[in-house]
Amino acid sequence: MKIFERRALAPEYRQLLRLLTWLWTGLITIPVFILTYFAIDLVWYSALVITFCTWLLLALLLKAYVMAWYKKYQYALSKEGLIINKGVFWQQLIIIPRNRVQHTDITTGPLERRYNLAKLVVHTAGTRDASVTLNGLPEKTAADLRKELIISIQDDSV
Amino acid sequence: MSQTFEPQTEYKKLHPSSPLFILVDAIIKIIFPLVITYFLGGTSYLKEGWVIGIIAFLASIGTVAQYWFYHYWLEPDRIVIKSGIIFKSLRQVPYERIQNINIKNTILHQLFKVATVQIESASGSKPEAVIRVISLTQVKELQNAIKQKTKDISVTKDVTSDHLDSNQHASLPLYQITKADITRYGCIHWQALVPLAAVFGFAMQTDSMRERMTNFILSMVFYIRNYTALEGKLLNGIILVILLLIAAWLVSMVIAHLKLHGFTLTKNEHKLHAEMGLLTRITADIPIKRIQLIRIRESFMHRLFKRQTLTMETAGGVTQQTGIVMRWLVPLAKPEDISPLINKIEAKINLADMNWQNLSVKAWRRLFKKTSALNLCIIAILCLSWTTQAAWLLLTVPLWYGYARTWARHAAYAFDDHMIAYRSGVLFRNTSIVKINKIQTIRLLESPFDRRNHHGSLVVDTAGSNIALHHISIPYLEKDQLLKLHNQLTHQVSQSTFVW
Repeated sequence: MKIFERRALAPEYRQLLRLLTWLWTGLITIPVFILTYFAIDLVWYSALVITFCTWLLLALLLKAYVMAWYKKYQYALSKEGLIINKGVFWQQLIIIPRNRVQHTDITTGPLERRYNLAKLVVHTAGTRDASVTLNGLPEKTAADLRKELIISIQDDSV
Repeated sequence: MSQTFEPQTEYKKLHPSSPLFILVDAIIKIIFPLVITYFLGGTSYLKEGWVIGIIAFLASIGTVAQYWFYHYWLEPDRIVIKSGIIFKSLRQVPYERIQNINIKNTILHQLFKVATVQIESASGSKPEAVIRVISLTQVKELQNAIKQKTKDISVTKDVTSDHLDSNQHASLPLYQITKADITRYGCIHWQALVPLAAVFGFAMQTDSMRERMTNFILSMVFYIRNYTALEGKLLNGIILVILLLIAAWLVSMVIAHLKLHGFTLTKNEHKLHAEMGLLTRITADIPIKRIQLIRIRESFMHRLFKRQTLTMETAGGVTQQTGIVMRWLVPLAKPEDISPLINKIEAKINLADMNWQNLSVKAWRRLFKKTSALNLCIIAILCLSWTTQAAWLLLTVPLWYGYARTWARHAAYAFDDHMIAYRSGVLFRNTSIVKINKIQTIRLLESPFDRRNHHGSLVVDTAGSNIALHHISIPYLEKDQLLKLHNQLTHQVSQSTFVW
């Protein structure tokens, strides 16, 4: 039985999050430009400046939040089971006992593949926690975790 | 198709009267709402009666075809059901995976000596199979097959002393509802108000119906005035409402009697067997180890009659809309009888000796602040958007205070080696009890307010739990108390094995 102490998500995931922050806030600024240029009829350069500033502001705010989120996000594998600790304002600690894992999935999106990351989804028989996701794991860790959690399933006799 | 698609034993068909029942079901589900909308003229495209005719015709052809293509057979370890006309399906349910078997028997069923059988496993929100309908001898066969299989397992798995002495009081009823209790149940639950409210809500949908409804109510008020000889619309209106409520109350009692007539709960080795109903008889078999959560409910009406209700949750997520449900262990009993009953069902749960621990001493203050903040927001919105008279609502502040105080005094949790329990509520008091080996995940939560007060909450997740209902979610716990509870629970849960 493998055990490891609390650890953070992969550093690559931080980069990915940063990239996503810029992308998403970039998308949100499109309506801002439409509003300022077409609806309020500002001159094109002031509309652009306003849009750019909004983008910068939003992105910095979101980035601060996401980085705090990343910093808080920790997971560990104890003797009892998988532990996930997350949340910036509303913090939570979830424990999924090893013998309650029904099955696990590993999924990777195109962006995650570029960074060699994977997402582990742990399914339990519960209702609210029927599936618990663990984002931003290095591919190898995800595979190891999955193997570790599956071995313990075979131990118990249902 | 491969060999597995063919029965290994002789296959069984549904009862010849089956199409009738499938049709009745279709009428209730599809045609009845259509006819209602037709008569109420809510939608215009159904003005032509022949549309309904065609739908009814197609439905009846469909039912006969469904009957024709529905087979099932009992293999030594599983039940196999083959159905479908165009999209064929073959469903195999191992007996040991079956969570409950519910049997429904209405007057129409009794006429043909048949029953509808619903088989529930732990998966999904729909029943695994609804066999509509088979003869009573076939039902017996099915029950015996399942009983035989589960008995084999329980004998091979745990030959305990518990097993031996359970034979002695086998099939002795644990609980039987009395006529008086059914009447009390009707008084407490006011079930007739639900359809009344539904009709009222439906009538408010369109302008024409609203007008008709208002006229109807006004004519009723005038009608009453003829008898009371009282002047004043308001007075007569109040009398009308009182009369309506009395009528609803009487109807509620009748409904309760129809539904709960002869409710009996029997323990049979490792199974519970519940039966109820006068016209529609529902029978349910629930293996005790499948019970995920036990809940004691007590509303202010319950307290008035000095009674409590005991319900349970099993892993299947079937609701009233998707199938036959049996959620009651005890519809109504005296509070002092409840904990011995639980003890008889689950020998390891002993509520009487539990050491209930209160939440943090600051709990009431935090709840008071929370409700105040929420109510002030609502009042502010009302004042700004409607009328400043809403500020009078501020006079209810003592009520908020009383609520917070009472809530905190009553809320408590208890746990031992076998279970964890949590109780809360003011008007509607609930106690949820979960056995340690039924706990799936444990979650600690900490809001910014919790952090300031060194508090936290603990939430326990179980299979098949209804998110809307009371469950084990203990707020306002002191940090050290919380961590102790958490460590102990985690340890116990990881030591115990979950069996479906």
